[in-house]
Parts: sequence; structure tokens; C-alpha cells
Amino acid sequence: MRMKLRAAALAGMVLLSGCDLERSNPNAPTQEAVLNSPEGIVAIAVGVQARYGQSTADFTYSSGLVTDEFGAVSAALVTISDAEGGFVTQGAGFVASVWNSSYRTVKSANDLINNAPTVGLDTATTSGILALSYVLKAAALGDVLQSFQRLPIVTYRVEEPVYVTRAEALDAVLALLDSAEATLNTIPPSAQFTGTILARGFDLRNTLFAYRARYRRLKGDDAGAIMAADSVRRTVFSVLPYDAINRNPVFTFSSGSSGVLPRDDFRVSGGAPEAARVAFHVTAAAIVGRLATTLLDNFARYGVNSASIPTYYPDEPLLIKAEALTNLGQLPQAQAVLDSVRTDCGGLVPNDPNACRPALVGALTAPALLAEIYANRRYELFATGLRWEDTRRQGLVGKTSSGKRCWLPYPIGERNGNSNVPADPEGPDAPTFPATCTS
Amino acid sequence: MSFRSLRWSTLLALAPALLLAQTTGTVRGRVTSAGGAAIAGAQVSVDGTQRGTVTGAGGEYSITRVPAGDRTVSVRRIGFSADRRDIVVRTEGTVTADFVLAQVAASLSEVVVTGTAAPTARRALGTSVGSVDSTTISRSGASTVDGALQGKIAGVQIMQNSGNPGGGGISVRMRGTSSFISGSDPLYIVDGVIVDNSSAQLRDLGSRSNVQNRLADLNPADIDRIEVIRGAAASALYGSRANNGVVQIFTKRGRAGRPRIGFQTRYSSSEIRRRLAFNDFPLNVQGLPVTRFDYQDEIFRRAGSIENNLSLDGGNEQTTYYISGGWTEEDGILRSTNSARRSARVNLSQQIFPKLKADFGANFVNTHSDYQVNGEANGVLTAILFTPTTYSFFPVKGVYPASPVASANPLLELDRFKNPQDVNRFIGSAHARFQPLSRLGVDYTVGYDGYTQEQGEYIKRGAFTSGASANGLAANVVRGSRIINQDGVASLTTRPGRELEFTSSVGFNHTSQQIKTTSATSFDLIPIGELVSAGATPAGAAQSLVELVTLGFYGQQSLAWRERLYLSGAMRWDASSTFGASERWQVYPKLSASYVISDEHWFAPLSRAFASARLRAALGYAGNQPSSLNAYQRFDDYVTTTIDGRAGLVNSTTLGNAGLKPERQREYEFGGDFGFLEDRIALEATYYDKLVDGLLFFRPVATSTGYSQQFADIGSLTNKGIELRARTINIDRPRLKWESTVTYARNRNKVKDLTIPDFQSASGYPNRIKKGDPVGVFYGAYAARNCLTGAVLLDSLGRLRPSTSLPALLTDSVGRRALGGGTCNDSSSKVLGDPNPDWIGSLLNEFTLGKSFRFRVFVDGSFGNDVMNLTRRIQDLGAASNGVDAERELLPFGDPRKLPPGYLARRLGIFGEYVEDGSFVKLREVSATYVLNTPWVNRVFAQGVELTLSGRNLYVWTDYSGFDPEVNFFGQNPGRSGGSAADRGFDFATYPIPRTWSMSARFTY
Repeated sequence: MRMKLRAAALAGMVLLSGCDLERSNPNAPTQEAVLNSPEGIVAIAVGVQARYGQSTADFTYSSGLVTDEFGAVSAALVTISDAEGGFVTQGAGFVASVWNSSYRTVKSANDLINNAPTVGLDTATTSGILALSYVLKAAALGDVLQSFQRLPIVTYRVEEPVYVTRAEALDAVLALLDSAEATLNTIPPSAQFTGTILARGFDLRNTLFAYRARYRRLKGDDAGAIMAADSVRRTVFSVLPYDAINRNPVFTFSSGSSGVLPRDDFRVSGGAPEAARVAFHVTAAAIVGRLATTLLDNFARYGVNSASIPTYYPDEPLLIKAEALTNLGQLPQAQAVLDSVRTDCGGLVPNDPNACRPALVGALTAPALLAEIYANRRYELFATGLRWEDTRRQGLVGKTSSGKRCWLPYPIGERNGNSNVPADPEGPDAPTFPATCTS
Repeated sequence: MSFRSLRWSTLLALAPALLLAQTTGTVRGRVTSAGGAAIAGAQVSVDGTQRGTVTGAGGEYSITRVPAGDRTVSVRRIGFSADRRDIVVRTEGTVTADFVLAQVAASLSEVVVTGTAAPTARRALGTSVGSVDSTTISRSGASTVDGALQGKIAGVQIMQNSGNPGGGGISVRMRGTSSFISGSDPLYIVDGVIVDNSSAQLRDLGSRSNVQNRLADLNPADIDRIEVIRGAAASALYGSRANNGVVQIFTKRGRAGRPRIGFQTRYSSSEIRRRLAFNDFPLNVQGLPVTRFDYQDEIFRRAGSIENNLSLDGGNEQTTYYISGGWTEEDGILRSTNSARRSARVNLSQQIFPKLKADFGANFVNTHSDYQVNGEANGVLTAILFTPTTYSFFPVKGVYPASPVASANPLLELDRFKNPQDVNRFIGSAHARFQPLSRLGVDYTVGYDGYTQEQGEYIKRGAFTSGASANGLAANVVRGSRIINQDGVASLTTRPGRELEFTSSVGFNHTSQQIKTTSATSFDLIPIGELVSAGATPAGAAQSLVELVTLGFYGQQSLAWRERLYLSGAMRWDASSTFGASERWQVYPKLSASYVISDEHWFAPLSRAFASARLRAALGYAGNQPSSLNAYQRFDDYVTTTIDGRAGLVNSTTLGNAGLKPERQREYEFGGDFGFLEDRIALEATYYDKLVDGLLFFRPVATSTGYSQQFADIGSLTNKGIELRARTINIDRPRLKWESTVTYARNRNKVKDLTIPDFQSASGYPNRIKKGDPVGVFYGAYAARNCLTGAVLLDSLGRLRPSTSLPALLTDSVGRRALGGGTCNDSSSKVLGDPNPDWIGSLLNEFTLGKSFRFRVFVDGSFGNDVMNLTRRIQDLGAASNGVDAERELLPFGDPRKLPPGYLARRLGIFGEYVEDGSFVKLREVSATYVLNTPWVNRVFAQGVELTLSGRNLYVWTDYSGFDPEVNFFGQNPGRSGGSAADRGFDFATYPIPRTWSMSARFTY
């Protein structure tokens, strides 16, 4: 009997030995597999570009909606049309979109920055991946700091990230861009990077310089902004490519049933003189929006799902330079640079809006120059999200102004998971609004 | 497998030699009731041996090869008093022992096997175990096993979520909702096989789960008995799968004797029980005459069903068999919906040696259903509810007018859309019982449950005017599921003294589950063609694989003192592949005590009133693991994202939880079982208290980290309640018998602790998991009221004022208080209702008149539960305006019933206005049976012919305004991101439960 029991016990153990409780997930690669393999790192480096395309489109959406660029289509949710008047709740979907999406881009960049050097990739490939990560992390944080009053900059594997001011975040963004340039200069990226990782049409180095100009100008470093703007090569475009399967995210949000479209006052306000640049961006349609008072046009630039997204428009560095020169008192030089944008006519299409306007007549004063620069920025840089910062700088935020809010409230998902989230900024329903939008 | 067959064949070859080595005799006799009627199915056994049998249809039994000597014969039958008799068996001799059993309402001697390591008499259990026998199931007229259980067991709330044919999707809540995941549904075991009861919706039918749960594959006609344990106190031995209770189902087995053939046939007719009122106002909003349509006439029908069951059983001393075939075809009351089940079963028992017995079971099922979309998707009822009654959907010269709303023409959907489902399933089991000594038994079971479920969808080209499926859609999804489980247990009984008996058991359980899903979808169909290959644009193919492994070991030690005090302690060590390595092994202990006080000598003075009395108490722990939906939540995954034609990766927004551990329930219960008036009244009373810790759901993660949620411990909840069950034999005379069963169960559910903010558990719907409130309460906007009088406050146009947009600012309570004269309107949202009932109850009355006539009435009810009537809300939509209240907006000014223009548009935003009392009492089952027992009939059919006329869901007493308060458009929501198992009580264009009349005949040869 004892023998039989032993035999039964043995048989039982044999039968059970086939069971392995340590099952891995066959449906998706796990973090451990991805972050410790060259293939995984390369795949994230491809992915982070797709991420940035999405997150910067999300930034374009929310910025356009709370300024005078976009309006909600008739079937849109009430939270979207409310935002046209600056009324935005913590739970609004587009608030979560721009924040979550941008920080997911940051997460991908951080995955690369923290793991790319140790998986055994060729150093020149690693160099390209790191430079790409620094640039896109900087760009994503830059989008966040143009939408929120405070933001975390250290978020990788932190349970509850801590918030810093926009000024601190701006320094972090510029430091990331410096790191990117240093990396590119130390070891030039390999052919593997430029040929199989970097999306076709994406010019990393010029994008880096353009963003440096943008954020130095935002920081108030005019001399530095001019230097950066000068280093952007005028003859290149830099775009993120899309096709019928991998659809342009701006096309997607402007063609969906709950989406947004350009407000027709963008077209109308430019009048005949701006016909060329307006036609570059939109086609007249007079669609009635969710708010019956808002008439909407269709996108021209993003009218098809395969349209690319410029990482920057080529004339943005020129307008930054003109603004910086004005601020430094070099008015004639500023006016000359601005004229080069105004008189731009033909060439560089389809990624460069051309004003085809005459040069300015007579020497302008500094305020007049700045006004002209902002007007040019409005028509040149439509649907890039940059309009919101321009309204803040011009003091154009108010219930009836171009900008309807200073900042977005912090998204509810972030607040629910992080005890460090500051109080929400005031909206148009606060008695003290409009605020001065100081950071 | 090969070594197994080798082993069996070796044993079989040896068997005759071993059998010859005995000196034995035969025991035979007949078991009858006090009235002289034969008692079939009584268990007769010779104590201390392996010999035993079950009485045949005439109450007769015969047990051969009983070892010679002084023996005791015991007889047990549910519903009758147990009896035993001492006899002397001589070698080659035959002893006759007849038994007359008294009918009783209380039955402490019934043996229970669920939740205990070894079969245990009810009197020894510290917990209340529910049980239901085949008669109760066959007389219910329900097409599924879980449907047949509705209302039958105290403390078990069984809800039919829709009226779809094939069961309609059934949710079971034992002692309240205990989890937000795994459907909060119990573990189902059939003949020792853990069976799958998922409700995978492979294509969206407009509910959050399939409209049929897979228990519908079991043929109720095959069921012999069901045992139900309701919480951790009883279910600890099932470890991390038993948080929501366990239902163990035993199928019929053959009885020794000549072959018996049973045939049952049933025809049923179903109809809509209650119709919705639609706007029938003769004028439109401009006051011009209009034609209005009520499409309920077009979409509903009187539907017929047939059900046929054939069985054959018999056998001899060594071998018994039960073979059955079942065939049902059920048409739904919504046109073009139907469900059919064809099943076959073979149950075989073989005594291999005197000490070794084996049981085999094989069950094959094919279930085919055709459904239509309803609920939240673009479905049939949905389209009708969203469309004004002035709109004609009728085809003109073969062309169906397009829907004026973003939907399809519902008549076109019924005529042309297809949503077929097919399931082919095999459930097999092998069980061996080896009993080397009378005191030692070893059981080993292997079970297999495998099925392939296929669901297709066809949307006709041009049915939708816009959207991806405008040019047609075809889809097909195939899901393969298989569970293999092994169970082994050994029990040893020892008697260290005359008054003490110990039972020691050890066992293990291993379960391995695998689910594979493959899908294909295409758009832009060629004009004639309904399969995926007819699509010009492939829209996607997907595949997934889920594997789950659970391993557990357990031990149990029981003590019986003088057959009146019973103590038991047990522990299970349990591991599951779903959990993080550090948390994988968990321990679930339990303790129980039962004391039969009526057996004490000091109880004697009370025995005139109490025939029996016992007190019991138990404490136990059990766990719950994520189902296949959340099988890999311990991993941090990456998902694909593409750019420039290259595949890239990005982290999933769900953060992996490396320390994931099971939900853990602590339950204690205590109560008593009492028999009054010679056990003709039996009362069972239980109080229970459950605490579930470590509730798993999605906790928000700071999105600045790149994640947004994590499947993690979010808090705890409690369920406390009382269960009462009384069974009475009111009249027991030869010509009239009247028996009643009453149940009452009250449960209080509360979210005790929540480590995350309150959250809306079903995205897009007004319900909430909120600390301090019951799970899934309705939460949202309400109409502002006068705080003193409670009267609704209207604006200057006579419309309601929603709490979300009261004057004087959202953040400021001053204006709100000025308006209402108090604080009652302070918040913009509040708890509006609770879908959980205060109590549920049932009443069954059974009458037997003479020998031929039986009558049975069963009502059950739910009290204090609210329903969110979103069906009515759709009717208020401006584009629809098809409810009866819309008629009131159209009345001429001056009419006292006139609602001001814009009243309904305003009401639409106030969810509080759509919460209704969902209390109901249902006339669930009524049946009258006549047994044709004339000599002429008996010449062919020994048991006579039973003719039954029955009805199901015949009448509902309720104040609820919709089709039926017993619906839930979320269905058997299993709980995942965007919806929890706590989401209940929502009526949203849900397929109504029909009223059904049936005629059946049963022939036994």
C-alpha cells in the first residue's frame, strides 16, 4: 500500500511538472524584451517619431480650439464647442489628449535615452537615436509648456512627478536641444539611423535649430534666437510623412464626426491681401459649426490623409529673427527679414506658405513692426499651435479676444494619479479674468 | 494517454481473478413512501463496504456480492427521512430489506460534496449549501440551467439580462457583487470539470457582453442535481477562483436494471409581454395631420420553440450507463432571431475492482444562434427608439428608406443583416475512485472543456449612408477555448475512540486554460456576397492567445464527536500565473463548526416542538483572479505604432503591475437549521458577513509618466446579509399534498474603502463606484427642488432646472441655496439610485391531487432596486420625440396635461429623471401536470405518460414603465477598462424578456 501511494504521488508530480506558472505575454512585447534588445530600441526610435506626430497634432488641436483658429463641427461634443469660448473642464478629452500624448512622447524618448546606449547598437546609430530622442523630448515638453502653466520635467519611472515653472521647463528644453547638437557633432549618425530609422523627409539637424530659435525667443534670449535662426538652412524642408494606412493625425481630427475645422474668420480676416497664404491653409466652405455662430472652412493643407506634417515651417525662423532684431532695436534689419517673408512668392511649395505680398513701404516703428510680424505669424504659421503663445505675448487673451484662456486646466487623469498637481488656472468664468497670463 | 489505457487494460485483465476471491450474498428489497408510492432514485448502501445502488422506478433495489456477515443497510433520498437496518448476509444467500420512508422538509442527512475535501453529510457542515434537484430544473420550463435556478436558492440573485433566445444572458450574484472583474459570476463545475461560462462578444451586439453566456450549452434535461456554495466560508478549498461562489452541477448517471427509455417533447409559444407606448398623436408640431407608425407590430412576433430529449439508461452491477440526446430550436420574439442547441451525452460508470470504480462522461454540444444588434450599437430597437414615429421605414418597390438618424433601417436589418454564432463544444471527464480500505479513499479526476465559438457579422451594402460600413461590412471571429483540470484527493477516516471520528484529507488541483482568438473584417462588399472575402477593402485581421495556469494544494482535517459536534479546518495553497512572482502563492484557510443540539439528551423536552435543530458557524478566505481579459496585467507591454511604412513600438498606457495579487475575501457566516412538527417544517437561517480586500480594477496613474492606468488593488467592499429558507409540507394526505418553499434574502453592499477617487465604472453612463455607497450606484444630474416641500422647481417656461446648470455659478452655493431655500441643490451631481435590491424573495407552492394531477406556482421578486431607463431617455431626444411624453408637448396650449415646448429637451440632461423603481414580482413559473397512468398506457410506458401545460414569465407586478425591469444592457459584463461587473440595472433598447406558454409530454418506457 505504501508503495502504491508513493507511486501515485510520483505520478501526480510528473503530471504537474508540465505546468509552468511563469507565463509570458505572447500578445505584445514586454518592456523587459523591448528595452534590452537592439531591435526593441530601434522600434521605439521609429515609434517616437510617430508619437511626436500625434502629440504635436494634439497640441495643434487644443491650441487652435482655445484661440481663433478652430471651431467644433456640428456633431462635436459640447465640451469641444464650450472650449471655443474658453470654457474647459478638467475632464475635457482634448485636455487629456495634449497632455497625455505629449508625455507619452516624452516617455518613449526617455526609454531611448536611458536604454539605447547599453543594448549593443553601433555607436553612430546610438548617436542618431539619442539626438532624435533629445529633440523630440524637447519638442514635446515645449508643446506642454505652451499649454499649461506648470509642468513636470522629470517623469521617467517616477510615481508622482513634481511640477516646475515654465521658465525652468524652458531651460530644460533648451538643454535637451544642446545635448542633441553635442551628440550629433561628436559622432555623426550612421547610415542605419538615417536610412532605416529616421522618417523620410525628417531633417533632424535643421529641426533642432528651428526649435532652438523658437524656445530661445520664447525665453527672451533674442541674440541666441537670431544665432539659432541663422543656422537653419533655408533650402530644406523637414516633415513627418503620412500615407493612406498611417493617416495624418490633423486630417483625422478634422474629418471625424466629433472633430474641429478652421474657423472661417481666419480666411475672412486676411482679406484679399492674404489670399495666397489663406488658400495654402484652407478652402472656403462656410460649414455651420456646433455653435451656430461659428462658420467653418475645410483644411487645404491637411485635406488628404497622406499630407505630411512640417516639423516647422521654413519661414518661422525668419519671423523669429525679425522679432528678435526688433526687440534688440535693429529695426531696418528686422524689416528686411520680415520683407523676405512677405515677398516670398513661389518656390518651396507645398510646405511653405507664400505671402506673395509687396515689401513694406517706409521704415516702421518697433510696435508697428511687431504688429506686422505677429500678423505674418498668424497667416504663415496657421495650425501649428504657435498662435496661442502669440496671443499671450500680445496680451490678446480675454473673453472676447483671440485667445480665450491663458492655460488649460490640468487633466483629470493626471490629477487623480498625482498629488503634486497645482490648482487649475483661471478660466473665463473666474471673476478676475482676463488675467495677464503671467507664468 | 497511452500509459493510461495500458493501465486500465491491465486492471481489467486482472479483475475476474480478484472478484472470485470473495464469499458474498445478495440484499434486495423495495423502498416506498408512507403513502405506499415507490421511491425511485433512493441511495441504498451497505455500510463499511463498497456495495450500493440506487432504487429503480418501482422503488426496487438489489445489491449483489455483499461480503457475508453482520451488515447495516442504509437508505437516503432527498426529501425523505434516512433509514438504516441491521441484517445478516450469508454466503450465496439473499436477504430482503424493505424500507418505508417518511417525507420531511428538513434533510440533514443529505450528502454534499461541494466545498469539502470529502463527501460530507449536511449536518456536519458549518455553512449553508444550496441544492436543487432535477425535478425543480425540469419543471421550470427554462431553456438554460442558470435560468432554471432563478429564485430557487436564497441569497443567489439570478438575472436574465435580455430576452434573446437561447437564455438571454444570465448573471449570477451570490450574496451581492463581490468583484468588479470576472463578471462577479461564480465558478461552475460539471461532474468535476471546471467549465467555461464566459460571454465573449466577438462582434458587438450592442451590449457589453455576448447575449448568451456559455452555460447555455448545457442541456438542463441532463442535470441530476446542483449544489451551490455562496461565499468564502464554504469555498476556501477552491482558492483564488471562488470569491464569487461555486456552482457544482452533477449530471444524471445510469441505474442498474433493464434499459429505460425516456422521451420528452415540448412545444412553446412566446410573445412580447408588454409593449412600449409610442407617440401616437395625430398632429405634428406644426399642428398638421400626420401618419404615425408603431414598429413593434413589425419587429415582434409570436415565436414557437420545440424541445426534444431522449434518454436511455440502465446497466448491471458492474456497469451503468446514461445516454441522452437533446434538440431544441427556439425562435426569438424579435423577428429573425433564434437559437438552437443539439447535444449528446454518454455517462458511464464501471466497477473495475471491488475497490476501484471509474466514471466517464462525454458531452458534445452544438449551439447555433442568429441574433440582431440592439442596445448601444446601431441596432433594431435602437433605430426605432431614435426615430420619430412619423417616419416610414417600409420598403418601397424593394428599396428600404434610409434611416433619418445615424442608423440603419430596422426592417432592413431584420430582413438582411446577419449576426450568426456557432459553438461546438466537448466536455469530457474521467474519474477514478480507489478505496483500498473502508476508511481510505482516493479520488482522481481529469476534466476537459473545449469549444470553438464563431461569430460573424454581415452588414448590407448601402444600409448606412455614411461611416466605414456604408458600403457593407463582413466579419468573422473564431475563438477557441479549452480548460484542462486535474483534481486529486485522498481521505482517511480514523476512530481513535468510540465517540470520536477524524477525517483527514489532502488534495491538489491543477487548471490550465487557453484561449485563442482570430478575426478578420472587410468593408466595401461586392453587391452579392456576405463573407469576409466579398469585401474589397480588408479592414483588419487580429489574433490573440491567452494562457492561464492555476495550481493549488489543500488539506482538511475534520472531527466528529458523538455524531453531533463537528469541527473542521482546512487550508489551500494556491498559485496562478496571472499574479506577480512575489505574490503568486497565497494561503486560504477556513474553519467550520456544526452542532446538532437536538441530539443532546437535554434537548429532549424541546423535541415536541423541534424535530431537529442544529447550529453552525464558519469562517473562510477565498480569492479571485482576473479572467482571461486581464491575464497579462503584470507585464509592462509595448504596442505597435507606424510611421513611414515602418513598424515602431511605444509603451502601452496601462502600466504593468509586477506585484499583482488576487482579490481576497474573508467571510464568516452563522446560522441554524431547524425542523418543526416532525420535520414537516424546515427552516434554514443564515447571517453572513463578507469583506473583499484588494479589489482589482484600474487605478489612475499620473499621465505625465506616459501611462494612464494600472490594474491594481483599488479598495475593499462588504456584503452583509440574511438568508432565510422555509420548506413546509402543509398537507400530506394520500389524495392531496401541498408543499411550499419560501426564500428571503437581504443583502447590504457597500464600498468600504477606495484608494482612488470615485469613478464612473461604465464609461459614458451615469453610474459610479463611490466610497460609502453600494457598488454601481446611479450618479449624476438631478432636477432642482424646493428643499422644504420637495417640489420640483421649474423655470419661467415651465421646464425643469438641471442641477448641473443652476444659476448663480457652478462653484458657488449661495445662488443654489437661494433658489431651493436650503442645501438640497448644493452639488451638481448626486447619487440618484441603487441597482442593487434591498431584498429578493420567492414563493413556490406545489400541489399533488391524487396520483395523477400536479400543480405548481412559482413567483419571485426583487425589491428596492432601481433601474436607469435610458430607453425612455432616447424617446425624449428631439430627433426622436416618440415617447408618450412627446405627445404631451404636442397638446394644444391650455390643456392641463400640456408640457411646455423644450421640456423634454431639458429633461434629457437630467439623468435623475430616468431613474425608476425597478421592484417587481414575477409569476415566473406555472405548471399543471397530468399523469396518464391507465393500465393500457402502462402496458407500453411503465411510468405512465406525463402531460404538462406550463407558463413562464406570465405576469409581472411592477411600477416600472419600460418593457421589463429585469434587464441589463451591459449584460454579463466581465469587467475591463471602461466597464465593471458592478454596472447593472440599465435599460437601453434592450431585447425584452418574453412571456412563454409550453405544452410538453414525457414518456418513460
